[in-house]
Amino acid sequence: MSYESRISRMREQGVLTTEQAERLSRSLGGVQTDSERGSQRNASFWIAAGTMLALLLVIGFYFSASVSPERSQVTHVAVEIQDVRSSLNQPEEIGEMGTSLSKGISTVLLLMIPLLLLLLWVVFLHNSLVSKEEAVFASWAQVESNYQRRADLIPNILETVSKYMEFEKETLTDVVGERAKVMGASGSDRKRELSESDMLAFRKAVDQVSSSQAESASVMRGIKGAPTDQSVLQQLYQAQNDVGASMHRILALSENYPVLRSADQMLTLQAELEGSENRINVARMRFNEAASDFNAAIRRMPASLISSISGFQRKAYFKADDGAEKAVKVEFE
Amino acid sequence: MGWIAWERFAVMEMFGGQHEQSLLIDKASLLNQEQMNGIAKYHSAFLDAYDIDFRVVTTTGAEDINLYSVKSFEELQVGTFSTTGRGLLLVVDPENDWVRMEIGRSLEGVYTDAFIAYIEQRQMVPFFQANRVAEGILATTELLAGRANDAIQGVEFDPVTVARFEKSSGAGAKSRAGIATGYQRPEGPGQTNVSASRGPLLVVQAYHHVMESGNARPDLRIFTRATQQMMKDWVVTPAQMRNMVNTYRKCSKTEVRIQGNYGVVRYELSKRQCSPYFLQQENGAWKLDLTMMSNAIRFNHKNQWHFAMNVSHPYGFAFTDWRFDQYGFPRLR
Repeated sequence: MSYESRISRMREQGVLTTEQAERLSRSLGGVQTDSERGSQRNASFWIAAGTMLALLLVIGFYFSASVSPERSQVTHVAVEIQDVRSSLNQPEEIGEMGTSLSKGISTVLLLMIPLLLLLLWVVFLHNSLVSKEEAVFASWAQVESNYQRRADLIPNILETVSKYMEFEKETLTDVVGERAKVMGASGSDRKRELSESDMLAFRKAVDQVSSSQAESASVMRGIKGAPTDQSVLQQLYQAQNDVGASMHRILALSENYPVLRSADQMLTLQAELEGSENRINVARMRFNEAASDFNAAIRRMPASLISSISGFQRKAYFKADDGAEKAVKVEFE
Repeated sequence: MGWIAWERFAVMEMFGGQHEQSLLIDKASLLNQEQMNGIAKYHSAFLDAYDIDFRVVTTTGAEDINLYSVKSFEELQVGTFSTTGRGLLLVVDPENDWVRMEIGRSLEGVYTDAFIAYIEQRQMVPFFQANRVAEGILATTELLAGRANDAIQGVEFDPVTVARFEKSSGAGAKSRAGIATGYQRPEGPGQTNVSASRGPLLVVQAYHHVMESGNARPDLRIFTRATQQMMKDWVVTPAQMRNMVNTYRKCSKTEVRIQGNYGVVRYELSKRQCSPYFLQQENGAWKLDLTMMSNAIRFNHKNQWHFAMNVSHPYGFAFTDWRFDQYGFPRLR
């Protein structure tokens, strides 16, 4: 069942107000991702690489034109049978054939090969930076998809909690109502009181989860490829933390309801929420590793020159929670 | 099965593979050599049957068991013993009181977070609470095997054709281990109202009914005195009871055979997971003889029953139309 139909059912049942349902529905819309990552940067690099290649061709042409006139002549009358007797080397003699070749071609090779190697090296460095950046994009996509995975749980959690709350309230208030009659108070008053306080807490948590999710979705829409602005990433981190906290607050409402607390459905929801959060943590950790690898690569010389020409930008990190920065030691013999 | 016992895993001695020694690392010294061998053999058979590389690590001082599991999964390259890259890792940390099962990427669709949380809390932890760690691990593997069987039939496994190591994404679940904290026997409603005076089939049906209601009382009147005594020491979990009920729902062509004071309820031979029931008359009432069943009936890693050929019992009269192979597996004559 889609999240929209779940939300609409809760609205029809009066669990959510129309305004809340609309806000929640808007906030749960998918995150748009940028598909044109790095295209601008690639263009500038290929302009630079093309310029270098053109330079190499010019140098090559210049030197090939400046070889000895005799050799040029031989080249132009290539159809004639070449008389090589005069240029044949005699024993223990270095002939003309050898000298003209070393003067022309070797000079070209001497200058062009290092330049060609330099060009290849630059291309290699650039491609290695591209691979590292792609790894950052891939790990960021994992972070986004895990955030989305958790967001997809929201309607399910809301529906389950509200359903059980309603069921238990009816059971509980029947008992309380009987007791209240004896004490002189009205059972329906007590029922209304329970209903209102729980529903108030529930709706407050729904509002919080909607606004945090909306903020988070808005921040994510603004991120192209992978985050480069530390403050934007921090804002997203905070918004997502608020989403998680609100979801836990909704689940915590179950503490007042024994049937709900012990139900397998509740165990399932808790497991799915915890599973999503663990995946988020793992994805964030892997994003930080990829971003750290990439950031270190673009700062090293001479890759830093290539990165500045090609427009590679430093990526932002998730800041670790207190204590989470401790390295986990795993040793197996 | 509702009458799980350590002995049933002895059948695994007929299996065993090349990776046996690498499947278990007991850094916390929770297991003795016999238990370690039993788990290694069973997991080796599990690997052969389902191509799932299931490792077990016990440790102390894993401050963050989630992160520790992810890192261990990576460090141990869990999944590389499988030809399709399927990997599972169980981490038990008695010091910090956590247990976590980490699920490889190719198994996420089969072993969902909710399912893993369920078998941890409803199957493994009750054994741990009774300080029967090895049995808890094996009982959990038994349910994992059952799920793998269902997945094979439903073609739910990812069609992975190339075996290569993939890091875990953080899928799985963690639970409080509760080792030696005291086993809480599940005792559902209606435990004293089960009549044992009717025929063998009705007694079996009554047994299924009490299992369905989550009732693991050892003193049920449908048990023989010896069974009641034996059941006092048995760990019965909610997951076992549910699994047993679900298994017997699929059993068909029920037959009842009686000779003197002994009765057998047996099922269609092709349903290999439907083991027969032994009943004995005590004071004119039919009662379940789970003691003899636990001695005479064993299961393989696919939960298919067979007789332990070295155990003699008075219920052989009911199987004269079947023949049994050298391992005790039943066949049609």
